[in-house]
Amino acid sequence: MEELNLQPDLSQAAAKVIRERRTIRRFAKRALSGEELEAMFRLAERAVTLKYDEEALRFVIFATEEGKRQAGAAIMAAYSNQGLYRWIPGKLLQTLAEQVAKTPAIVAVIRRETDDPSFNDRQLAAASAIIHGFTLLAWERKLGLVWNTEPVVEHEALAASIGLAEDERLVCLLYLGEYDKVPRGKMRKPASERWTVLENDRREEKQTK
Amino acid sequence: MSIQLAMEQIQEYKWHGQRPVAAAQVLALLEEAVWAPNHHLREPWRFIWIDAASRSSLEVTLDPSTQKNLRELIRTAPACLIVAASVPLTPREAKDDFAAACCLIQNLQILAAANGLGMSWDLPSHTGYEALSFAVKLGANERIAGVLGLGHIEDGIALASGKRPGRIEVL
Repeated sequence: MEELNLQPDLSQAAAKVIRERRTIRRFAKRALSGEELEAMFRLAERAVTLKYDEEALRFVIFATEEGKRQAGAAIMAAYSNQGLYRWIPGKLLQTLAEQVAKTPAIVAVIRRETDDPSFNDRQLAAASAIIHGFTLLAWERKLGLVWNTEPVVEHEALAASIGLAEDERLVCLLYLGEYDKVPRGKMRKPASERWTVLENDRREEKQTK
Repeated sequence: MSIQLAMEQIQEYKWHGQRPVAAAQVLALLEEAVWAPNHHLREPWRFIWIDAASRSSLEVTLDPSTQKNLRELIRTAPACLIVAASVPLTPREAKDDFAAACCLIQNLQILAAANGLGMSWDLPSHTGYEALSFAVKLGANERIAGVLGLGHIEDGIALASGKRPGRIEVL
Protein backbone atom coordinates (compact mmCIF):
# COMPACT_ATOMS: atom_id res chain seq x y z
CA MET A 1 0.00 0.00 0.00
CA GLU A 2 1.22 3.52 -0.72
CA GLU A 3 1.58 6.07 2.05
CA LEU A 4 -1.17 8.65 2.32
CA ASN A 5 1.30 11.52 2.51
CA LEU A 6 2.75 10.82 -0.93
CA GLN A 7 0.18 13.01 -2.63
CA PRO A 8 2.14 13.73 -5.84
CA ASP A 9 2.63 9.99 -6.38
CA LEU A 10 -0.98 9.29 -5.51
CA SER A 11 -2.09 11.92 -7.98
CA GLN A 12 0.03 10.55 -10.81
CA ALA A 13 -1.00 6.97 -10.12
CA ALA A 14 -4.72 7.89 -10.03
CA ALA A 15 -4.38 9.88 -13.26
CA LYS A 16 -2.69 6.88 -14.89
CA VAL A 17 -5.62 4.56 -14.04
CA ILE A 18 -8.10 7.16 -15.32
CA ARG A 19 -6.15 7.58 -18.55
CA GLU A 20 -5.59 3.88 -19.20
CA ARG A 21 -9.14 2.67 -18.50
CA ARG A 22 -10.82 1.19 -21.57
CA THR A 23 -14.21 -0.29 -22.37
CA ILE A 24 -13.90 -4.08 -22.32
CA ARG A 25 -16.32 -6.28 -24.27
CA ARG A 26 -14.51 -9.64 -24.28
CA PHE A 27 -13.86 -11.34 -21.00
CA ALA A 28 -11.66 -14.13 -19.72
CA LYS A 29 -13.93 -16.77 -18.23
CA ARG A 30 -12.84 -16.53 -14.62
CA ALA A 31 -15.40 -16.26 -11.84
CA LEU A 32 -15.70 -13.11 -9.72
CA SER A 33 -16.64 -12.69 -6.09
CA GLY A 34 -20.02 -10.97 -5.76
CA GLU A 35 -19.07 -9.83 -2.25
CA GLU A 36 -15.91 -8.09 -3.49
CA LEU A 37 -17.93 -6.32 -6.20
CA GLU A 38 -20.44 -5.25 -3.55
CA ALA A 39 -17.65 -3.75 -1.40
CA MET A 40 -16.41 -1.80 -4.43
CA PHE A 41 -19.91 -0.41 -5.05
CA ARG A 42 -20.14 0.64 -1.38
CA LEU A 43 -16.93 2.68 -1.65
CA ALA A 44 -18.04 4.12 -5.00
CA GLU A 45 -21.27 5.33 -3.33
CA ARG A 46 -19.44 7.00 -0.45
CA ALA A 47 -17.18 8.84 -2.91
CA VAL A 48 -20.05 10.76 -4.57
CA THR A 49 -20.64 14.20 -3.00
CA LEU A 50 -23.77 15.05 -5.01
CA LYS A 51 -26.81 14.59 -2.76
CA TYR A 52 -29.27 11.96 -3.95
CA ASP A 53 -31.85 9.57 -2.55
CA GLU A 54 -30.05 6.35 -1.57
CA GLU A 55 -33.40 4.55 -1.38
CA ALA A 56 -34.17 5.34 -5.02
CA LEU A 57 -31.09 3.62 -6.48
CA ARG A 58 -30.37 -0.08 -6.41
CA PHE A 59 -27.77 -2.43 -7.78
CA VAL A 60 -28.29 -6.13 -8.49
CA ILE A 61 -25.05 -8.06 -8.99
CA PHE A 62 -25.47 -11.36 -10.85
CA ALA A 63 -22.28 -13.30 -10.09
CA THR A 64 -23.34 -16.86 -9.23
CA GLU A 65 -24.09 -19.45 -11.92
CA GLU A 66 -27.76 -19.44 -10.99
CA GLY A 67 -27.93 -15.62 -10.90
CA LYS A 68 -26.25 -15.27 -14.28
CA ARG A 69 -28.49 -17.90 -15.84
CA GLN A 70 -31.47 -15.88 -14.62
CA ALA A 71 -30.01 -12.60 -15.96
CA GLY A 72 -29.09 -14.25 -19.27
CA ALA A 73 -32.60 -15.58 -19.76
CA ALA A 74 -34.08 -12.14 -18.93
CA ILE A 75 -31.80 -10.35 -21.37
CA MET A 76 -32.45 -12.81 -24.19
CA ALA A 77 -36.21 -12.64 -23.60
CA ALA A 78 -36.03 -8.87 -24.09
CA TYR A 79 -33.95 -9.19 -27.25
CA SER A 80 -36.22 -11.78 -28.82
CA ASN A 81 -39.38 -9.86 -27.85
CA GLN A 82 -37.98 -6.68 -29.30
CA GLY A 83 -37.75 -8.34 -32.67
CA LEU A 84 -34.01 -7.75 -32.85
CA TYR A 85 -33.40 -11.44 -33.29
CA ARG A 86 -36.52 -12.20 -35.29
CA TRP A 87 -34.54 -14.00 -37.99
CA ILE A 88 -32.27 -15.89 -35.69
CA PRO A 89 -33.14 -19.57 -35.25
CA GLY A 90 -34.03 -20.61 -31.71
CA LYS A 91 -30.86 -22.67 -31.44
CA LEU A 92 -28.63 -19.66 -32.07
CA LEU A 93 -30.63 -17.61 -29.58
CA GLN A 94 -29.86 -20.34 -27.07
CA THR A 95 -26.13 -19.99 -27.86
CA LEU A 96 -26.34 -16.22 -27.31
CA ALA A 97 -28.03 -16.80 -23.95
CA GLU A 98 -25.16 -19.10 -23.01
CA GLN A 99 -22.64 -16.41 -24.02
CA VAL A 100 -24.38 -13.92 -21.72
CA ALA A 101 -24.33 -16.48 -18.92
CA LYS A 102 -20.58 -17.00 -19.45
CA THR A 103 -19.88 -13.31 -18.74
CA PRO A 104 -18.18 -13.38 -15.31
CA ALA A 105 -20.64 -10.87 -13.79
CA ILE A 106 -23.61 -8.77 -14.85
CA VAL A 107 -24.91 -5.81 -12.85
CA ALA A 108 -28.33 -4.20 -13.22
CA VAL A 109 -28.36 -0.53 -12.15
CA ILE A 110 -31.86 0.60 -11.28
CA ARG A 111 -33.35 3.99 -10.39
CA ARG A 112 -36.78 5.02 -9.24
CA GLU A 113 -38.45 7.49 -11.58
CA THR A 114 -40.81 10.20 -10.33
CA ASP A 115 -42.62 13.03 -12.11
CA ASP A 116 -40.02 15.51 -10.80
CA PRO A 117 -37.33 15.95 -13.50
CA SER A 118 -34.87 17.47 -10.99
CA PHE A 119 -35.12 14.35 -8.81
CA ASN A 120 -34.66 12.07 -11.84
CA ASP A 121 -31.59 14.02 -13.01
CA ARG A 122 -29.96 13.79 -9.59
CA GLN A 123 -30.50 10.05 -9.46
CA LEU A 124 -29.10 9.58 -12.96
CA ALA A 125 -26.10 11.83 -12.17
CA ALA A 126 -25.36 9.95 -8.94
CA ALA A 127 -25.83 6.55 -10.60
CA SER A 128 -23.38 7.54 -13.37
CA ALA A 129 -20.79 8.77 -10.87
CA ILE A 130 -21.13 5.58 -8.77
CA ILE A 131 -20.79 3.36 -11.84
CA HIS A 132 -17.73 5.28 -12.99
CA GLY A 133 -16.06 5.14 -9.56
CA PHE A 134 -16.77 1.40 -9.53
CA THR A 135 -15.30 1.11 -13.06
CA LEU A 136 -12.03 2.69 -11.90
CA LEU A 137 -11.86 0.50 -8.78
CA ALA A 138 -12.44 -2.48 -11.08
CA TRP A 139 -9.75 -1.38 -13.57
CA GLU A 140 -7.26 -1.15 -10.70
CA ARG A 141 -8.08 -4.83 -10.00
CA LYS A 142 -7.60 -5.77 -13.68
CA LEU A 143 -11.34 -6.03 -14.31
CA GLY A 144 -12.94 -4.39 -17.31
CA LEU A 145 -16.55 -3.63 -18.17
CA VAL A 146 -18.99 -2.20 -20.67
CA TRP A 147 -22.18 -0.21 -19.97
CA ASN A 148 -25.15 -1.26 -22.04
CA THR A 149 -27.67 1.58 -22.48
CA GLU A 150 -29.16 0.20 -25.72
CA PRO A 151 -32.95 0.45 -26.14
CA VAL A 152 -33.20 -3.17 -24.97
CA VAL A 153 -32.60 -2.02 -21.37
CA GLU A 154 -35.94 -0.21 -21.50
CA HIS A 155 -37.81 -3.28 -22.66
CA GLU A 156 -40.69 -4.37 -20.42
CA ALA A 157 -39.80 -8.06 -20.77
CA LEU A 158 -36.43 -7.30 -19.16
CA ALA A 159 -38.00 -5.11 -16.45
CA ALA A 160 -40.43 -7.89 -15.60
CA SER A 161 -37.89 -10.70 -15.45
CA ILE A 162 -35.37 -8.69 -13.42
CA GLY A 163 -38.21 -7.78 -11.06
CA LEU A 164 -38.46 -4.00 -11.39
CA ALA A 165 -41.25 -2.21 -9.57
CA GLU A 166 -43.74 -0.14 -11.56
CA ASP A 167 -41.83 3.11 -10.94
CA GLU A 168 -38.33 1.66 -11.47
CA ARG A 169 -36.20 2.03 -14.60
CA LEU A 170 -33.04 0.24 -15.63
CA VAL A 171 -30.23 2.83 -15.96
CA CYS A 172 -28.00 0.29 -17.68
CA LEU A 173 -26.62 -3.23 -17.57
CA LEU A 174 -22.93 -3.68 -16.83
CA TYR A 175 -21.04 -6.70 -18.19
CA LEU A 176 -17.75 -7.25 -16.44
CA GLY A 177 -14.85 -9.60 -16.05
CA GLU A 178 -11.13 -10.05 -16.35
CA TYR A 179 -9.65 -9.20 -19.73
CA ASP A 180 -6.79 -10.58 -21.78
CA LYS A 181 -6.60 -7.86 -24.41
CA VAL A 182 -6.83 -4.09 -23.93
CA PRO A 183 -8.17 -2.07 -26.87
CA ARG A 184 -6.23 1.01 -27.96
CA GLY A 185 -7.29 4.32 -26.49
CA LYS A 186 -8.75 7.18 -28.50
CA MET A 187 -7.18 10.58 -27.92
CA ARG A 188 -9.21 13.25 -26.15
CA LYS A 189 -9.41 16.93 -27.06
CA PRO A 190 -7.55 19.13 -24.56
CA ALA A 191 -9.72 20.56 -21.77
CA SER A 192 -8.13 23.95 -22.46
CA GLU A 193 -10.09 24.07 -25.74
CA ARG A 194 -13.35 23.69 -23.80
CA TRP A 195 -12.46 26.21 -21.08
CA THR A 196 -14.11 29.60 -20.67
CA VAL A 197 -13.67 32.15 -17.88
CA LEU A 198 -16.74 34.01 -16.68
CA GLU A 199 -15.48 37.39 -15.64
CA ASN A 200 -16.96 40.08 -13.49
CA ASP A 201 -18.15 42.24 -16.37
CA ARG A 202 -19.59 39.09 -17.95
CA ARG A 203 -17.21 39.37 -20.84
CA GLU A 204 -15.93 35.92 -21.75
CA GLU A 205 -12.44 35.21 -22.83
CA LYS A 206 -10.75 32.08 -23.98
CA GLN A 207 -7.98 31.31 -21.58
CA THR A 208 -4.69 30.53 -23.23
CA LYS A 209 -2.72 27.93 -21.44
CA MET B 1 -4.46 0.92 -5.22
CA SER B 2 -4.22 4.66 -5.93
CA ILE B 3 -7.85 5.06 -7.01
CA GLN B 4 -9.07 3.29 -3.89
CA LEU B 5 -6.83 5.45 -1.64
CA ALA B 6 -7.99 8.66 -3.32
CA MET B 7 -11.65 7.59 -3.17
CA GLU B 8 -11.37 6.76 0.53
CA GLN B 9 -10.27 10.37 1.15
CA ILE B 10 -13.34 11.92 -0.46
CA GLN B 11 -15.50 13.83 2.00
CA GLU B 12 -17.89 16.73 1.96
CA TYR B 13 -16.61 20.03 3.27
CA LYS B 14 -17.95 23.30 4.53
CA TRP B 15 -15.51 26.03 3.48
CA HIS B 16 -14.10 28.62 5.84
CA GLY B 17 -10.66 29.59 4.51
CA GLN B 18 -10.34 31.46 1.25
CA ARG B 19 -6.88 30.37 0.14
CA PRO B 20 -7.47 30.46 -3.60
CA VAL B 21 -7.27 27.41 -5.83
CA ALA B 22 -5.49 28.37 -9.05
CA ALA B 23 -7.48 28.07 -12.27
CA ALA B 24 -4.36 26.54 -13.83
CA GLN B 25 -4.39 23.71 -11.25
CA VAL B 26 -8.05 22.89 -11.92
CA LEU B 27 -7.45 23.01 -15.68
CA ALA B 28 -4.48 20.64 -15.24
CA LEU B 29 -6.76 18.17 -13.38
CA LEU B 30 -9.39 18.52 -16.12
CA GLU B 31 -6.79 17.53 -18.73
CA GLU B 32 -6.73 14.13 -16.96
CA ALA B 33 -10.46 14.05 -16.18
CA VAL B 34 -11.39 14.23 -19.90
CA TRP B 35 -10.41 10.55 -20.17
CA ALA B 36 -13.95 9.75 -19.04
CA PRO B 37 -15.99 7.18 -20.98
CA ASN B 38 -18.35 8.77 -23.51
CA HIS B 39 -20.39 7.49 -26.44
CA HIS B 40 -18.83 7.70 -29.91
CA LEU B 41 -16.15 10.05 -28.55
CA ARG B 42 -18.59 12.99 -28.54
CA GLU B 43 -16.70 14.44 -25.53
CA PRO B 44 -19.92 16.20 -24.54
CA TRP B 45 -18.58 18.71 -22.01
CA ARG B 46 -17.48 22.30 -21.56
CA PHE B 47 -16.01 24.12 -18.55
CA ILE B 48 -16.91 27.54 -17.22
CA TRP B 49 -14.59 28.93 -14.56
CA ILE B 50 -16.39 31.39 -12.28
CA ASP B 51 -13.92 33.92 -10.95
CA ALA B 52 -14.34 35.38 -7.47
CA ALA B 53 -15.68 38.71 -8.67
CA SER B 54 -18.60 37.18 -10.60
CA ARG B 55 -19.90 34.98 -7.76
CA SER B 56 -22.43 37.40 -6.33
CA SER B 57 -23.98 38.08 -9.74
CA LEU B 58 -24.59 34.33 -10.11
CA GLU B 59 -25.86 33.84 -6.59
CA VAL B 60 -28.62 36.42 -7.02
CA THR B 61 -30.03 34.50 -10.01
CA LEU B 62 -31.06 31.67 -7.65
CA ASP B 63 -34.14 31.55 -5.43
CA PRO B 64 -33.02 31.42 -1.76
CA SER B 65 -36.05 29.35 -0.76
CA THR B 66 -35.42 26.48 -3.21
CA GLN B 67 -31.68 26.73 -4.06
CA LYS B 68 -30.16 27.45 -0.65
CA ASN B 69 -27.35 24.87 -0.86
CA LEU B 70 -26.32 25.89 -4.35
CA ARG B 71 -26.25 29.57 -3.34
CA GLU B 72 -24.05 28.73 -0.36
CA LEU B 73 -21.65 26.73 -2.55
CA ILE B 74 -21.32 29.60 -5.04
CA ARG B 75 -20.78 32.12 -2.21
CA THR B 76 -18.33 30.19 -0.01
CA ALA B 77 -16.25 27.77 -2.11
CA PRO B 78 -12.70 29.02 -2.67
CA ALA B 79 -13.03 28.05 -6.36
CA CYS B 80 -16.12 27.50 -8.51
CA LEU B 81 -16.42 25.65 -11.82
CA ILE B 82 -19.47 24.80 -13.90
CA VAL B 83 -19.45 21.69 -16.08
CA ALA B 84 -21.92 21.95 -18.98
CA ALA B 85 -23.09 18.86 -20.88
CA SER B 86 -24.21 18.85 -24.52
CA VAL B 87 -27.87 18.06 -25.20
CA PRO B 88 -28.12 16.18 -28.53
CA LEU B 89 -31.47 15.77 -30.31
CA THR B 90 -32.46 12.26 -29.27
CA PRO B 91 -33.43 11.60 -25.64
CA ARG B 92 -31.21 8.54 -25.49
CA GLU B 93 -28.13 10.46 -26.65
CA ALA B 94 -29.01 13.28 -24.26
CA LYS B 95 -29.08 10.79 -21.37
CA ASP B 96 -25.78 9.24 -22.47
CA ASP B 97 -24.09 12.66 -22.77
CA PHE B 98 -25.34 13.82 -19.36
CA ALA B 99 -24.04 10.55 -17.85
CA ALA B 100 -20.66 11.04 -19.58
CA ALA B 101 -20.31 14.58 -18.16
CA CYS B 102 -21.10 13.10 -14.70
CA CYS B 103 -18.31 10.53 -15.16
CA LEU B 104 -15.93 13.38 -15.97
CA ILE B 105 -17.04 15.16 -12.79
CA GLN B 106 -16.36 12.00 -10.75
CA ASN B 107 -12.87 11.79 -12.33
CA LEU B 108 -12.28 15.38 -11.18
CA GLN B 109 -13.59 14.49 -7.70
CA ILE B 110 -11.04 11.65 -7.42
CA LEU B 111 -8.14 13.66 -8.89
CA ALA B 112 -8.94 16.58 -6.57
CA ALA B 113 -8.77 14.25 -3.54
CA ALA B 114 -5.42 12.88 -4.74
CA ASN B 115 -4.16 16.48 -4.86
CA GLY B 116 -5.29 17.60 -1.41
CA LEU B 117 -8.39 19.37 -2.70
CA GLY B 118 -11.96 18.86 -1.57
CA MET B 119 -14.84 19.21 -3.99
CA SER B 120 -18.58 19.65 -3.60
CA TRP B 121 -20.99 18.90 -6.45
CA ASP B 122 -24.46 20.35 -6.76
CA LEU B 123 -27.11 20.58 -9.48
CA PRO B 124 -29.60 23.41 -9.92
CA SER B 125 -33.24 22.29 -9.86
CA HIS B 126 -35.19 22.52 -13.11
CA THR B 127 -37.41 25.36 -12.01
CA GLY B 128 -35.84 28.78 -11.81
CA TYR B 129 -32.51 27.93 -13.39
CA GLU B 130 -32.99 29.91 -16.61
CA ALA B 131 -31.45 33.05 -15.07
CA LEU B 132 -28.34 31.08 -14.08
CA SER B 133 -28.09 29.57 -17.59
CA PHE B 134 -28.34 33.04 -19.06
CA ALA B 135 -25.75 34.48 -16.67
CA VAL B 136 -23.19 31.80 -17.58
CA LYS B 137 -24.13 32.02 -21.28
CA LEU B 138 -25.16 28.42 -21.70
CA GLY B 139 -25.97 27.46 -25.30
CA ALA B 140 -29.47 26.30 -26.32
CA ASN B 141 -28.14 22.75 -26.68
CA GLU B 142 -26.34 22.70 -23.34
CA ARG B 143 -27.31 21.97 -19.74
CA ILE B 144 -25.54 22.07 -16.40
CA ALA B 145 -24.16 18.71 -15.20
CA GLY B 146 -22.56 20.20 -12.10
CA VAL B 147 -21.81 23.36 -10.21
CA LEU B 148 -18.58 22.44 -8.42
CA GLY B 149 -16.90 24.07 -5.44
CA LEU B 150 -13.22 23.35 -4.80
CA GLY B 151 -10.89 24.23 -1.95
CA HIS B 152 -7.81 23.07 -0.08
CA ILE B 153 -8.73 20.35 2.41
CA GLU B 154 -7.09 22.34 5.25
CA ASP B 155 -9.52 25.20 4.56
CA GLY B 156 -12.57 22.97 4.93
CA ILE B 157 -14.48 21.45 7.82
CA ALA B 158 -15.36 17.86 6.93
CA LEU B 159 -19.08 17.21 7.24
CA ALA B 160 -20.53 13.90 8.39
CA SER B 161 -21.95 12.46 5.18
CA GLY B 162 -25.13 11.09 6.74
CA LYS B 163 -25.40 8.81 3.75
CA ARG B 164 -27.44 5.66 4.27
CA PRO B 165 -26.03 2.38 2.94
CA GLY B 166 -27.21 1.74 -0.60
CA ARG B 167 -29.44 -1.11 -1.76
CA ILE B 168 -27.13 -3.73 -3.21
CA GLU B 169 -28.07 -7.36 -3.81
CA VAL B 170 -25.80 -10.21 -4.87
CA LEU B 171 -27.45 -13.05 -6.78
